[in-house]
Amino acid sequence: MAPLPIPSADSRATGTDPSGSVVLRPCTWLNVGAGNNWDRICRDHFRTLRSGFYHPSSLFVAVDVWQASRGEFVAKLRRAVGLADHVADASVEDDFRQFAARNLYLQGDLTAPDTYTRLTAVLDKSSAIRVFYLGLPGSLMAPVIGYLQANCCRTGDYILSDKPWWHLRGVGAGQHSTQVA
Amino acid sequence: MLPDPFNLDHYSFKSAVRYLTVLRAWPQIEKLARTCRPTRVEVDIFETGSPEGRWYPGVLEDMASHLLVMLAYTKIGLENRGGEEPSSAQIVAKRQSFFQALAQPLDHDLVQGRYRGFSGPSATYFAARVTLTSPAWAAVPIVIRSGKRLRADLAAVNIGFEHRRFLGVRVQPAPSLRLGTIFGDGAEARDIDQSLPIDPDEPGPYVRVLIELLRGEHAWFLTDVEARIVREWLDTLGQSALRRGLPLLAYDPGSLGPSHCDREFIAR
Repeated sequence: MAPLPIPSADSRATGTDPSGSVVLRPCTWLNVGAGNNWDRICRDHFRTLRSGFYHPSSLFVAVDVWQASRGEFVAKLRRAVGLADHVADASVEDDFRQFAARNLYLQGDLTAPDTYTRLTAVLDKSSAIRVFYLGLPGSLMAPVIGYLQANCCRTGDYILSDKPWWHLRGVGAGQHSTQVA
Repeated sequence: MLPDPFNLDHYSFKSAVRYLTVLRAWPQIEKLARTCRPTRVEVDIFETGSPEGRWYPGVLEDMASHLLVMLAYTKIGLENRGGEEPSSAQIVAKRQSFFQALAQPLDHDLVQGRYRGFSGPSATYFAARVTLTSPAWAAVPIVIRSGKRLRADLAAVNIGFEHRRFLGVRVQPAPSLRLGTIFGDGAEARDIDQSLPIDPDEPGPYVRVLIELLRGEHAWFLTDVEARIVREWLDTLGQSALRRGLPLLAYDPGSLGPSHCDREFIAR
């Protein structure tokens, strides 16, 4: 049994970086609601960044309700990608510094229009394709999609709704405030 | 035009799960699928981790779609003669056909548990019986199970066939394939016992999501019809549990879950 093909080396998904290496097209991955699966997602992104497959201008943005200083967010990110508190191998540390520099955190109420105004201001600094990953509970899903479509999405961007039946089952938005890891 | 959301179940983007669709590429499995019918299917995701301290809708809402997706690809794979990689159109059509054949669950199709010490109100373990209405599968007992704070991490599909034959696909950790025979005394003879050929450096499922979006390849996202069916199936089970006041069976963290009850459940 031959391995199944991995869909990576394809011109629709790739381009070249300034050094001429083949990399994924520039993109901005946004976690709207950074609780559900955020650790796993960060681990996947970090591993791929370490492999050199991300375009150097790629960005990762998390938006959620929890309060965190930049230092606290980077510490949380470090735990998410599976690095211990103590210093790891120098090359891993260097890669993590680069990864952390590509990661931004925006604290905001996901039901408040102002959050999306601020998010748009961050996103407008890049022309990269935006992928909005929604790991949201309950009734937040529909209003967040509405805000994103009205404020932050352009033609060619993507919205991913993880477990889309959560919002259909009417789980209360109020519970979201307990989702601080 | 502004984007409509894609329905994501990230298990569809795991390599080991995709191997389920090409099981018959192994000649021994091709022969098995041609000569023996499945007699039972179990799909499990067991986790050592805990949902403690974060918002949690319950294990049924959290995990059932992963299990149904694994079951869908298993059915596709067992019916895919020769094991050639299905086209995108085939994946969508066959998976949608699986979901459309999903019978509404009955009251006794669910047991739930919660590990001792969990502070939340929701279930952390469930086992559910799944019935498919398609003729070849209508009589096959199918059980999906998932739990938190169990003894080990494991995601796997186990299929029993006529003549005591079995096929096991471990999705994680260490994706692998086993094919063999179980004898009356419980001993096993194995025809295949191998790791799945997955490159350890290949992108993880979320990066694969990104790559396939950028490629315009959307077959592994659930359609709106499939998402609606999953929601209705979950609703029916959840409402039945509420209506009947289905108890949450207690189990110890680090155990196998309330296995005493779901052994009986599976045997029914």
